Amino acid sequence: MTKQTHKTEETILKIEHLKKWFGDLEVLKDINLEVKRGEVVVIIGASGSGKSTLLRCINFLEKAQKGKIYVKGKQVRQQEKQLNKVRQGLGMVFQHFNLFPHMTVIGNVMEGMIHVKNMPKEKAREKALELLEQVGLSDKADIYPAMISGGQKQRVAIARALAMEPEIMLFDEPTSALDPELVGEVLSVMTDLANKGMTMLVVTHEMWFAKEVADRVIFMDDGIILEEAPPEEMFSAPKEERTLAFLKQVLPPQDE
Amino acid sequence: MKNTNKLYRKLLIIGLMLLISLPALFAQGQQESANTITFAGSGGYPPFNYMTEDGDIIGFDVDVAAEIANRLDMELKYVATAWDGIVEGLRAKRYDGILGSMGITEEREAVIDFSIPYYYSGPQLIVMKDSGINSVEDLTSEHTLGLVTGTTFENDAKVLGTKVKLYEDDNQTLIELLNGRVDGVLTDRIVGLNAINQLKEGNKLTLVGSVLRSEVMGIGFHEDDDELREQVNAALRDMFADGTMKEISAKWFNGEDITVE
Amino acid sequence: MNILPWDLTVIPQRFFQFADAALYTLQITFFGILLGLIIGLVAALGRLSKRQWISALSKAYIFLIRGTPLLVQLFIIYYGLTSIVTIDPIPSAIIALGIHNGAYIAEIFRGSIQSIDYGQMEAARSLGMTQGKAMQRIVLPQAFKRAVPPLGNQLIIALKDSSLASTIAVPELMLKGRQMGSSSFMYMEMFLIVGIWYLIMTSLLSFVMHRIEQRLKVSDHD
Repeated sequence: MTKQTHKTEETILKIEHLKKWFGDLEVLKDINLEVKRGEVVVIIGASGSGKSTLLRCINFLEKAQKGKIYVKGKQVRQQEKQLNKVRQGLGMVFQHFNLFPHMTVIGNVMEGMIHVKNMPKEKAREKALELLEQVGLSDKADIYPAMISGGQKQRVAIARALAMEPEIMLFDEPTSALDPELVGEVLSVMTDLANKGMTMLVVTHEMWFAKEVADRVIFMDDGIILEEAPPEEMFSAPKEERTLAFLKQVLPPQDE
Repeated sequence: MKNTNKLYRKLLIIGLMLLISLPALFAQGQQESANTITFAGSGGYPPFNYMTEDGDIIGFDVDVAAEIANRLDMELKYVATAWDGIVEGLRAKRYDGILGSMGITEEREAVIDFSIPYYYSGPQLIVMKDSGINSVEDLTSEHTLGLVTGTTFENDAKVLGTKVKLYEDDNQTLIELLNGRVDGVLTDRIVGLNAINQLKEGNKLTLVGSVLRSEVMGIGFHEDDDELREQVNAALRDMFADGTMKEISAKWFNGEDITVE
Repeated sequence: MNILPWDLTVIPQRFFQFADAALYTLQITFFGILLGLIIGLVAALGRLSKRQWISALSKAYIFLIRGTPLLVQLFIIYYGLTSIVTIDPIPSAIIALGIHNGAYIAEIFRGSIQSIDYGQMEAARSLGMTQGKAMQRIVLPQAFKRAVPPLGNQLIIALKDSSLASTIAVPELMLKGRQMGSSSFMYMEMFLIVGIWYLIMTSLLSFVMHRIEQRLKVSDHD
């Protein structure tokens, strides 16, 4: 697998001084982050470090109390109408898939196109089939989500998010809920996506993906970005002690 | 999804069928045309107004009502309604008048208007033959009397100082007397007489002493309904004059005329 | 053959005389529940609203109506309101049943809406759907399915509760029973007939609800 990068010079996402509290607990302590179009950023860290929260703040599923978020140069505010529009451009893939059980696979993919983008049904169906093709599930189009495996569900979820033609894809531990043998198919789809130039922010424990596909790895610890670096640097020579400690736990022992 | 669609369709059909019945349901209340006069009674006061097995209401009051309607060139609608809410119902104009053996009292006159009297009677005590109660003086505070809520008899019981159990109509009070759940029933003497003659076990009952007091019955009208009241009064006067009232009374009370003092 | 003090032969004889009354029972129940469903859904959504005053209003309604007997509510509507407006017996019964059941139905809907995994709402909003669209397309369809069993139960309760309409002159089963019993003095026989009618109707309802639940299970894709 050759490492390509599609990172451009255009800043597509900017986070300034983001702070979030859950009650008295400060979970994000002054986060600053800039992501370029086409960049693949992987966020790692222990549970409780705030990495999922950070991701969810970007599309306002969580609301940060302080700080600013800019998508394509424009600040994203809480205002309903603008937020809905922005969310279309931010595709999200959840740890537990969150597919709509009362609709077929293709129904799930079409839903946003028909009811948010107001696309005519025929066109939506056409596009949905293309996307299912892309993730390798066109034969499951008319089946209900309950009938397919976890890996297949997640691939449908990816297709569903892509249907909105997002410019940034957010992945919140996309493979954590999967049986090990199903992880590969999902990572494969994600790799494809990266190779097509999608800007991706991925919270994950899959170090293989970080090594092979990420342009940048961010290590979060206790609410701050402790360290960030290209994966080769991060994994071979982390600067911070805590980064090293964490990596020792998650990576297989390396013989240096 | 096909199965659910079939299901929804079936439910929709049933729903529509029931929905169609809606106007008919509401019409049930509105059956009065301009030419109907509605009178109300409890429907449980034999032989003045009571229900047959078929659900029709008959009795002395009903016959008087029918005759009045006839003379006013109107159709009669006689309805049964709970006695304790009957005055409220009249004030809410749910019916045109109360023709259900309502005693003319000051209390009632304060809120509704009455026609001229149409019959005279009075409350009397009814007991089981073997009760040992031979006069109202025999009643103590240990005894329980059964009576109907909202009647003038409630006060009589208070005066007598007994315990009281309240019921919806005199069918109930008399059954309770026969069951032994009350020691006596205080109601109109004619109702008592009728019970003794008509009830299955009526021969076990007896009237005690004489009427406690005399009562005058009138037809109740809404305070604003002076015109109707006068029309009915005129009809009543005619009915007294030409002997119709006497006739109706004789029919129900074995020849006795209760329409005069 | 008369070991019992009642004439049970009367029961089959008079049974169908109660058919009209049974129809009234069914009708006021049906329309009462229909009204209850509408009120209940509005109240449930109101209860879940983020706007304080709407939520408070809903909670107050649910609290007041669940906390007072149906009979009291019925009398307030039929008797109590007469100084402002006089409502006929049948509409009064339907309104009272609607308002009363609405409070319970509101809680049923609220429970079933809240039982839908929040991830569903998150996924819908992430696609850019408005709150309203997300409720309409994603949450409510799933919630309704889950609400069917408890709603069916409420329907059966409402059918039996409709007997209270007898107190305001609605010609339904209970009143018919009392009138027939009162005029014939065969209270036991008449009330047995009434009881049997109710039993038949509740059994039928239970059966229908069961079938509906089966059908929904078949199309249940989780």
